[in-house]
Amino acid sequence: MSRRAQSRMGEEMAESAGTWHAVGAAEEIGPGEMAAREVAGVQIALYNVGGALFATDSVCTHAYALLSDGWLDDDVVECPLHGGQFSVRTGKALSDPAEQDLRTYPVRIVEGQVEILLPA
Amino acid sequence: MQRFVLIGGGIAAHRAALELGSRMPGAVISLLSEEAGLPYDRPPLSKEILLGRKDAPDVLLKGAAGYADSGIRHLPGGRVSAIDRRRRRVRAADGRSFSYDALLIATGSRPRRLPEAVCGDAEILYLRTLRDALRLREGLQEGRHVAIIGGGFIGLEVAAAAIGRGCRVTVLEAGERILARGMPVPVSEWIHRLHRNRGVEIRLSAKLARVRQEREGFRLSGPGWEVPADLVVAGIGVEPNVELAMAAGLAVDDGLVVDAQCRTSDPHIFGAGEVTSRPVRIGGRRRIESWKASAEQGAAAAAVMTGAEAVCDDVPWLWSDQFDCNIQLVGFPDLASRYEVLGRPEQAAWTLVGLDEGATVVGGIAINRGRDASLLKRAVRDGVELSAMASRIPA
Repeated sequence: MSRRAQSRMGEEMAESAGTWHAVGAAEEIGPGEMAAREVAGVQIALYNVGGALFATDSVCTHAYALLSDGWLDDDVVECPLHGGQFSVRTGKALSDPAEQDLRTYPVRIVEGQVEILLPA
Repeated sequence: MQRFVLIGGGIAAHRAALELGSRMPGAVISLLSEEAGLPYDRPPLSKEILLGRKDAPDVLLKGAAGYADSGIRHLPGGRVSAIDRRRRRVRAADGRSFSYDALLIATGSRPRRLPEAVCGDAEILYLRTLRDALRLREGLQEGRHVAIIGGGFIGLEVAAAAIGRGCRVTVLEAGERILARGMPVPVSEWIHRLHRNRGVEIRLSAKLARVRQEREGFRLSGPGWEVPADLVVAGIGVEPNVELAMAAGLAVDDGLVVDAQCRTSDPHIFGAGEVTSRPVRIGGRRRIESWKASAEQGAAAAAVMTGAEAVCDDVPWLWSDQFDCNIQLVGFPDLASRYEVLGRPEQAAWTLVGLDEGATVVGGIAINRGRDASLLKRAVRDGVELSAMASRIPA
């Protein structure tokens, strides 16, 4: 199987495991900015890191707070409540007191609209 | 083979142990803790534990249950009686001894006690350990009147939790305002109002002369006042556990003296956490009572103990959650010569920024404005002026 076929198959599998949701225009979030979105009852934080968009759960894994109210430094988001840090690319918890990683979601841009893949 | 001995059972010793385990697989790492059980997280003790939202298993520190897998030998429930610096050996009260190539003292601090002349043998509650917190929680029953001695962070967090459990609460503060140590006046006043609005009675300039325990409860009194109570909690500061270090002849000045690399006056002995007096960015040395600072210092100490380079000079930062308010203190606001307010105090979301004689940010307090706390940390670290900081904040 060619690499391209493999990757297409991967994409189809990913798609069959969830649904893409449109969450607004890509131009609404400039580089270095983040935004809060609610998709199918899930609080999502969208980040623009040097032009690339990433999405994670917005609720911190340490205590109840929205990361979208926090601080974005390059690709690291800092929780507004207790300062826990996460990589917005991988969701990995990077600093105290955050211990548990953050869930991330695939993002794509279709005709200028941001779409997030939520698992089924 | 390298032998590391760590004395302590809080976040600093725990973090140091894990760091040593990952940096030096195969080393002998002995963690000697005075308390029984595994190390746990202290911030929730005065908050979620008291409110009943968390229980003992919920506050275990991450990685503590896996010490054995990380090559850490944890010896709880034992007191260290002496450090023999010449032989590089630590002796435990039960007679065992542990040899070290590098030793970490992370013995933390203990609550300051009321003098016996004031309280005699009255049963005063203090809050430091998980056991203390569980015991206090049992006492916080609906309708009871709780007297809290001391209007510092611990006292106020206990007050907020006690209100949450339906108690009647009186805070007795000897000074002219609450949070006088480390907090600028406007913040003291704002938090005072917060507590008063939620039903806490705060008495200022209430110098305590006597606590008597009678059959039907407690009676606290001072010049011209008397307060009855069903339960008495004291939060009047902490004292560093420096006795072991002093007996070993290490330099102690308020806390165990360490440099930015966590070294003490003995090249084989290191210090981390609340027990230490450490150099800080502004204003010489300090003992820092902060979870985050202790965690980072523990990790830095471990790195230096293995011969790696690490410097511990992060900006001090701590948080307090009271009622539904999040209060973050960053840097050295107590050293500021003037202050600027961002946001709106009357809307319960504001930040007090402390500036030096110029306009450089030296610290601040963010109340329900977490983003400002993130910004303050960076501003203090980089020594920027308020204008540079404010330009990144929406009004």
